[in-house]
Amino acid sequence: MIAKLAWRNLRRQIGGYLLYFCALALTAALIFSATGMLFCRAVLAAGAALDGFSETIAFLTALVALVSGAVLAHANLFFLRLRQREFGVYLALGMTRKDLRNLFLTETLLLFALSLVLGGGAGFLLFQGFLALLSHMAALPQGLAAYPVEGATLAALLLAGVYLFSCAFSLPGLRRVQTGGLLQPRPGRQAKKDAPVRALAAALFCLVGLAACYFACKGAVRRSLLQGENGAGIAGSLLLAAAFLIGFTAALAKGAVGVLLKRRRFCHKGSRVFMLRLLNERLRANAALAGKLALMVAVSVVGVNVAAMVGLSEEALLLRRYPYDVCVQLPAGREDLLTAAGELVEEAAPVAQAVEYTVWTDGSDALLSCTGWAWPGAADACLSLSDYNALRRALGEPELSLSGEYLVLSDISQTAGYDFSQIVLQKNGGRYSFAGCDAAAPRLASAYFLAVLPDEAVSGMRPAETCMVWKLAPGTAFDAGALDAALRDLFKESGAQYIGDFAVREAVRTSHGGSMAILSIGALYVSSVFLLLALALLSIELLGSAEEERKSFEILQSLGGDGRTCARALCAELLSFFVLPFVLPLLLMFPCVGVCAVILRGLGVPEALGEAAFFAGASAVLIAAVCALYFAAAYLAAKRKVFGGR
Amino acid sequence: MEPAALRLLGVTKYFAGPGGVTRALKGVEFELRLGEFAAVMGPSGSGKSTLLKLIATLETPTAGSIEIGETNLAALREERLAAFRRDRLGVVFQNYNLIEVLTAEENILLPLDLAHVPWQEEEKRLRALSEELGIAKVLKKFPRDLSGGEQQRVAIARALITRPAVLLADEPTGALDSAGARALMELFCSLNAKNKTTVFMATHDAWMASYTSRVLFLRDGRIFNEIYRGQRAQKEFYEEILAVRAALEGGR
Ligand SMILES: Nc1ncnc2c1ncn2[C@@H]1O[C@H](COP(=O)(O)OP(=O)(O)OP(=O)(O)O)[C@@H](O)[C@H]1O
Ligand SMILES: [Mg+2]
Repeated sequence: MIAKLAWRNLRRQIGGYLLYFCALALTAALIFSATGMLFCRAVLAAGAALDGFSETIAFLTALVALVSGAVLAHANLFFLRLRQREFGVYLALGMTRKDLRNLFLTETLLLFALSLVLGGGAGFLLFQGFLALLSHMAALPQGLAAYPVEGATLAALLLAGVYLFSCAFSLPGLRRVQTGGLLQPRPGRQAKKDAPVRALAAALFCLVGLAACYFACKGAVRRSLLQGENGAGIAGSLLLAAAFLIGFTAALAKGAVGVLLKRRRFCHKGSRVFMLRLLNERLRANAALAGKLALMVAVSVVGVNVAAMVGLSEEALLLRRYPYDVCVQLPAGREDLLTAAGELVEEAAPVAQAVEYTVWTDGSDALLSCTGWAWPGAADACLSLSDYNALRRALGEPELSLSGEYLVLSDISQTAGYDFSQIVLQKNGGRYSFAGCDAAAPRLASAYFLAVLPDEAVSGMRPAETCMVWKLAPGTAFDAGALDAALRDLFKESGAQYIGDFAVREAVRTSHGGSMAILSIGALYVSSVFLLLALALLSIELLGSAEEERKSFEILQSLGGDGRTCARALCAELLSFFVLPFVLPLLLMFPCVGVCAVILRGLGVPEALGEAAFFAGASAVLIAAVCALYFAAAYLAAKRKVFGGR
Repeated sequence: MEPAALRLLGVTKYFAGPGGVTRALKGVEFELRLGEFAAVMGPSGSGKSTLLKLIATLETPTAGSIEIGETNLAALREERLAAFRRDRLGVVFQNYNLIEVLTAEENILLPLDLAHVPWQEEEKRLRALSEELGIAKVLKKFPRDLSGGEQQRVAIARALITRPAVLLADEPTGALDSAGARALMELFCSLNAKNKTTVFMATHDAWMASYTSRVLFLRDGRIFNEIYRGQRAQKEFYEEILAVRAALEGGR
């Protein structure tokens, strides 16, 4: 009996709240796909390249499960409140409280089973999609992968946990059901004091706070990039910004319409006052929810931006830091290895250009002693201007000339923080003054620090290293991993002693691509889940009060509001309610771009900023489009509920 | 003789439901003169509310025609119908049907808002009407904070603010105590006498019906009988109404 009733109730609810259940099933699907990746052999096989992937996904999945548990609990409570009367009738008809509990649990269990089936199916497809994205970004082998059983089990367990949590949370609500409530025609809304002006002032305050957080965050990011400060400042300003965002949205929800309603002449036109009053009621009742929704959407926006920025800066950084396809650095006297390396490179791919250069030293540490990383017995390394110009020519950059000057060249960003201007180098009888410092020079070797001097200053020094860089013929595909491995084997021959260093850009790209893929996929995963859950919450709020509004709209019609007027009023009301938690978070895209600019500039790749801004705009448009679609569906559903049956 | 304010010809209304077709009205025909005050009575389910809804253009008849003034309702499309309802008809329901989220004032002014009446005019009418109905003090309150009688008077103010030609009321006294009900009927009488508003109401209560000048009796969707008050005293009319009602219920 209970099972039959539960099934009927569930069907009725799913009919009414289809959108909410769709979003729920999609969230389940996302959890399924994420756990699938945790256990996927193809992903695990790439282990080395994808350092930290499993931990990130596991952490994010736990986060998602937690948030969806909270959303589900909220929704359960909401439905219980909506169905107070229904449950009261069951009680009055002679059901015991135990029956009620069983009924509720059966319904939830059915819903759980349903989402398990639907989510499992959709999760399989999503899993393949994520995998394709991952293999695209991290250059893994493509193809359909079997969905791992462990993943499905874990997802099912997680979902069960989520449902248990939400049940435990909402059961106390069931105990509050009383038959007495049936006598009152509707639960009396306690009249809250309307103080729109004060609410607006609070909103303004929060807005100012948000702006302050933005500047604080920008400063913290800059400091952490340039001075290596830890991320506490960033995290603090972000947390504060989240609080201000919630506060702003909630305060705006409380006050905005109230202020409009005070202007009587403005309101008494068409169905305006009707629409505004309904909206005001809805907003004031859901102000806290609007704040939380805004935060969820904001997380989604920031997540997408982080994903885009990570991708862009990685690519730009890679090209900037590794302008040569291959570079090799060997101690002087190991020309045999250099020749062997050259052969390996030529075997792997057609070479367009190869530049050999020598690093000299005379044992002085005038420059190094200024830096924070000098060690006893360290000596400045020097590069002759003609070698440097040859390296520049290979990149198509103009040649430099130095007269009585030297340049500091380093790939260590902190180098920019040291002052070399007082240091005059004395080499071969000549005096050379400081001409400038390039702290983001192309990568010749890992962590190098060189002084570029005119040729005559270098002659007479002893060679410290012989090095070579290669540019390959553009557009040739080659097996970077194999070349990387071959070079590694070559350099490994004599054990622990320092032999030299090398880098193959394409191989670096693969491993960097891995970390980039982790971040991007993680951010996208969190973004989509938060957006989905926000939309799910919003739709039950929209549709839940549709029944209540039905009566108001019926009266409006009986007073001479035609169908168009009514539909327009409903649309305007729902849209205003829907838009509030979305507009500001979507506008957060601008400060996001601002912070991105700081990061990209700090990384030395300001040229990627244009693309980052484009991505931010495009993702905002995409999110807005998803929301618009969802709103259209929600509006149609609400319209059916409000005007249905006439 | 006054021209007709309302004319019904062979009005029939069927409802198709899951349990088959309900014949709520079967060929109802009558006319109301301009400025007439009439009531319709009948047992529960006889079709009173349906009749009022049809006249109020909230439902369309399955067959037959309804004319209000010179206008045949069947000829009007949805938008014109809504405008007509707004400008020419005032409707008062048993449960007041005030919009919960609007203040009394906003409720009253809503039909004028919908008609885009200028603000000065709105204010003028509101002031006059609220003084007359004694609700000037409660205009800023929400319906939930009003007493039943105040709510009823607000609903009536809303029905009258457009100065309708016809006022329709479905059991307007249903939720009032007897003193409140009597006051309301006296208000209707004075409205009818002063403004020549045609008033048509459905009621269960014979005493309320006796305030009118004409009572129609409905049974199973048909007009069963109708009686006029003429020059008789209210008490006399009341007794005749009781007699007809007894006959009506006995004849089942
Ligand atoms: N929307 C509807 N759909 C189906 N049947 C309806 C509908 N409205 C009314 N009816 C039916 O039409 C008949 C007349 O109903 P109506 O509400 O007009 O009666 P009434 O005379 O107003 O009764 P009461 O005195 O109880 O208010 C009833 O049998 C009712 O069930
Ligand atoms: Mg009725």
